[in-house]
Amino acid sequence: MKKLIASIVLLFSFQTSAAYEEKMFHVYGALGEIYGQSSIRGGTSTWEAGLLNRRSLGFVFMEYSSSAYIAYGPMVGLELSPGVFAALGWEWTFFGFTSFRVEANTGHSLDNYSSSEVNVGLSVYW
Amino acid sequence: MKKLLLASLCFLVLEPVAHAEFLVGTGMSSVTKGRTVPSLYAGLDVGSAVYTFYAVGVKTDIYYHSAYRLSYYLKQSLGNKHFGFGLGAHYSIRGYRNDIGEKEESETDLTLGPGFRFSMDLGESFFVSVETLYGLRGLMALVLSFQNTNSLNIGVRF
Repeated sequence: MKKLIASIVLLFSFQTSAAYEEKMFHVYGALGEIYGQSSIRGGTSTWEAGLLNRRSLGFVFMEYSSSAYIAYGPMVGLELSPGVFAALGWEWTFFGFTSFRVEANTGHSLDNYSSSEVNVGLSVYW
Repeated sequence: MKKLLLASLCFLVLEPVAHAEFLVGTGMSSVTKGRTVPSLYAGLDVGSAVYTFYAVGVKTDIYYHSAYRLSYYLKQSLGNKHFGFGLGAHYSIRGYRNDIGEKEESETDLTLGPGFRFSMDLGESFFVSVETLYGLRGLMALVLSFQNTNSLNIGVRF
């Protein structure tokens, strides 16, 4: 019964007619360079949180200008040193609930370890 | 001929501007990763583009390492946030010797590539910026990241 309710909630939470800016929540997964999985994030059109790139865990604010966006915010590196993360990217939506993203990003922590990548990934909105 | 080409390039890149801002500050570069060595950071913001430069270095009795980066970025703004893609060049020179008194050996590296810059104004006069140069040193290097150089900078605008 719990699974049925969860499935119904999930199905009805997809807003296939809304623009991606208006959707409530999304999950983003990306590959970066040759090292495989690079980023897994969840959030809305104004923020995201999660593994931002291979060495950066944090929270970013997002601002869109047409299909281009910037993301910036606090992060911690692998050594748990605090730092700053910034990204520039483009996002194209298709099928109403998913999008393709290309992003250049960098995270720089105060212990002077940093990581920069070019990520390619997909988002799913609902 | 070289001077003529250089002058032509300067005229193409350096457009006339009515208002420009100078950026001066400090920061740290991934060149000295794991060690927070302050760098000298300077820039020129001409409105539609930003030119930046940094120099950072360390020196001991055994070795030294100096690095310099010169970058050019197109600039877009969203409120007090500024961002853009561009190009940059990174030059480093390092010298070392096995023991004090022995002859010093040195190596140099020059890396060119695309980059991006993100900066945020803090109040009227201050800024914090993050810059990355995706260093390209061959086709295989397109998929590697060890030659990227990143910097975190803070400073004043005037």
